[in-house]
Amino acid sequence: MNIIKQTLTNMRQQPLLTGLTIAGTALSICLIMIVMMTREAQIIDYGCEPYRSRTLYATKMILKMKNGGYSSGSMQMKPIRELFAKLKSPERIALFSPMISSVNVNMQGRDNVQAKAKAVNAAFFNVFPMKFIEGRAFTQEECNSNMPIAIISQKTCRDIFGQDKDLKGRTFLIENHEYRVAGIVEDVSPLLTSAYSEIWVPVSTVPGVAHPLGNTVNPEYSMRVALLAKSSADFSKIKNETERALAAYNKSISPDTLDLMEQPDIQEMYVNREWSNKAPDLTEIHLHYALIFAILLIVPAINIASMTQSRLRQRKEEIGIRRAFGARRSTILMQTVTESLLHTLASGLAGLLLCFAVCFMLGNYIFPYSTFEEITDKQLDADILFSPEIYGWALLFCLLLNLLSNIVPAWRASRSNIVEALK
Amino acid sequence: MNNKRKNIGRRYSYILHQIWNERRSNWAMMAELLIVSCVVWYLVDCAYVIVTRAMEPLGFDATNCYRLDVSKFDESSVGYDTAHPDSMEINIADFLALADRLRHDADIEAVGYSLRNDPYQGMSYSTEIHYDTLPTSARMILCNPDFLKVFRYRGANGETPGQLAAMLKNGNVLLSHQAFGKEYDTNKLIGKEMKVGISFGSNDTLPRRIAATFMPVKRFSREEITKQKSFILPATNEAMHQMIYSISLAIRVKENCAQGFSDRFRQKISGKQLRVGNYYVNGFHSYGELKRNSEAKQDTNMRYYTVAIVFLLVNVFLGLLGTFWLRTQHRFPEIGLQKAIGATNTDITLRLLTEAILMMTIAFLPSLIIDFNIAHANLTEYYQGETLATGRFIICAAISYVLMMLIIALGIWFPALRATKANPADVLRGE
Repeated sequence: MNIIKQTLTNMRQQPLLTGLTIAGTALSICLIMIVMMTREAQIIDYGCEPYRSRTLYATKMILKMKNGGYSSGSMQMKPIRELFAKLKSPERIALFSPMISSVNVNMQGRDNVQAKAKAVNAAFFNVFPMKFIEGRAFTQEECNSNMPIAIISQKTCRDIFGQDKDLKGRTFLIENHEYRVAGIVEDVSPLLTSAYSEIWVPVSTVPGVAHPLGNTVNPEYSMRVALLAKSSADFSKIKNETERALAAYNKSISPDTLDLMEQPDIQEMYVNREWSNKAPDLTEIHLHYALIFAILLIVPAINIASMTQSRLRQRKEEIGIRRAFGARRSTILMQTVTESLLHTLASGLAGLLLCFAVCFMLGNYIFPYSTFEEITDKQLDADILFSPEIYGWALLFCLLLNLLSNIVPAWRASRSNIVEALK
Repeated sequence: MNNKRKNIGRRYSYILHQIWNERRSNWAMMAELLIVSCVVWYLVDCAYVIVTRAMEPLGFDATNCYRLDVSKFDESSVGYDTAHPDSMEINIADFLALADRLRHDADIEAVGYSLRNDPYQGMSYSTEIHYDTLPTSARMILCNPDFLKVFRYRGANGETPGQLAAMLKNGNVLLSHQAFGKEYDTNKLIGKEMKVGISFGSNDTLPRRIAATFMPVKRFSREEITKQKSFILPATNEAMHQMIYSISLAIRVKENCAQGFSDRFRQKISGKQLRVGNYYVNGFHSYGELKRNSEAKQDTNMRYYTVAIVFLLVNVFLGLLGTFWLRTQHRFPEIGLQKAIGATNTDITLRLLTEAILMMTIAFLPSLIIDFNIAHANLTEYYQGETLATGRFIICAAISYVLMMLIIALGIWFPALRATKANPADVLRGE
């Protein structure tokens, strides 16, 4: 307790330096947290995508043709039907189209509404569970029979019908095709790029025609697969089975070849797979982040080191007197370490508050647009903000920062010659 | 005259000596300034490339223009018109009639349709073109003549959009300026024939007469204009057979009708006036909106660069504040003495500022060497094929230097104010 009282008094005696140290570290923590959060938002399990850590994805493909040409682009329904749909090791196989950014929806007598839509299969709602307010997800039989049913988010229900309950069975038009409401779900956060949409309609998984959904995207040529494994330990099993199935598929389409470019992907590869003819280089991406964190830590560390040095130089006299009266070197050191800890706590708190403030005020600006999707507004989910994991990491970084920059000057100060100090 | 110069020289050498003497406590500050200078330069360079590309001429003008969403009723749709069954000839006829109806609208100045060649389209078709034995790969623009009026393409020799449109007839092709590279002046090719490989699956090379050249046109606002090679072919009936399922429709609104156009047009859409057979317009997007969407990712990156630069500069600011605050306190005796001799407050402030700027410049010079090496190692963005160009390097280094200077000035402000409070009387009392 004594040490803490002592430290607090010391801090109060040099308000500017203490303030600057805390401010610098708080800023670092805030930025580290924001950088981590923007990355984690894409990777950790949360919300309607609670199984990201045990899901593998396939979204792109290259078809190499016998005359040397090749066409690369989104995964298509043909390889999905003949390769992925036949896999046995995944627990579930979900299909979802890329976001169809605006479909025209209307009810008789009401204005046209532009909504976002996705064509999905029944297993989609097992892999990306959503909270149903009314009704339920489609069954596979309903999907297979091409039933014109739709699941709508609450907000879109209000836009289309003017209300968000008692709508089960009501009919409406999507791109001039009649659909029936099968269920209403709670709004999904746009940050959950796989699950997010405003309307979900079935896509058939038997050979045949995918349900028409406007002229913008044809699900036959643009579809994504999510393979839910029983646990991440099963990933190698699934990948092996995929490789065998790929070999068999290539035999069947020879002389053309299908190249999956290392898919099916784990979540982190999946969100970074920007180009349809090149696998993402995770090492490069990790190096990028490492460099960013290094800079976020080194620059403030230098600041704190030099300020600590000045602070301790000022207290040389005090330390000299204390040493003359018998204080041990270890006590002096302990005091500096305690000061580090207190600074860390204070900056940790300040950094956290600053981070909240920034996220709430500028949330729309800092979360990155996912490549080639047309999602234009990202709201921050309260779920991410309160993840103790991320905060724990940030605090750890901060502690390391403070300790690193305080230890050397503190050690040197405690070793200083008493006579020199008292001069 | 000579004396004045000597005095200034003495002042600088005095400050430099002081910096050297205090090097133990200066090392941290200098190291930080070095690192921050390097990183700030890198970020400024990234931003420079984005901004320079954005400032290049677009080659087209899409103000007051809109892309129309055209949908088609099919057999399972509610409202399908059985009198217009799904056949190529009927589809083409209906689409063209729809375009014609739009052309006669009072608000609309011109209607253009193309093989997804309007701006901000993700798809493009490239093929090889040949003049004599000289090949190059170029983007194909397949459109009706009015398309050039909608987007106001300009001729390389001053032709207006209307004149270019008039030249877009059967057997003709329009070629972008210097499509074969800077060494081959395309002006000399006007009137000559070039071969175009049509990329609709067949390998026919049709000879076409180059009627005129036009100023290069970007697809997206942030591309590089020097890479834009393209050629324009007219959308003949035969071409329509290939285009009809991948066609995009755009309109230019008359300038004096721009006010309130959105509402009027939306009414026409819901009033079902814009339907011919099974083709109908069911939405529209302004090119301003499409431009912003396409720039979104880079704009986010620019935001990150700004945040990073601000973060680094704030750290430098805090560091400077901390270092010089204490230093000023230690130097009170010295400052008091200077004031007693006759230095004014401005002199004191300037002395402190000079010290900080000299420190920063000394740290900046090695950072320039590091920056040069980073650019030389191709670790920065490519612009016009290079990562290291004299003009670009000098401008980015200058911007970084100015940013650092500004933050130094800000960081010295409070310590300087404090320094001026040194009272000669107090100091001399102590002596």
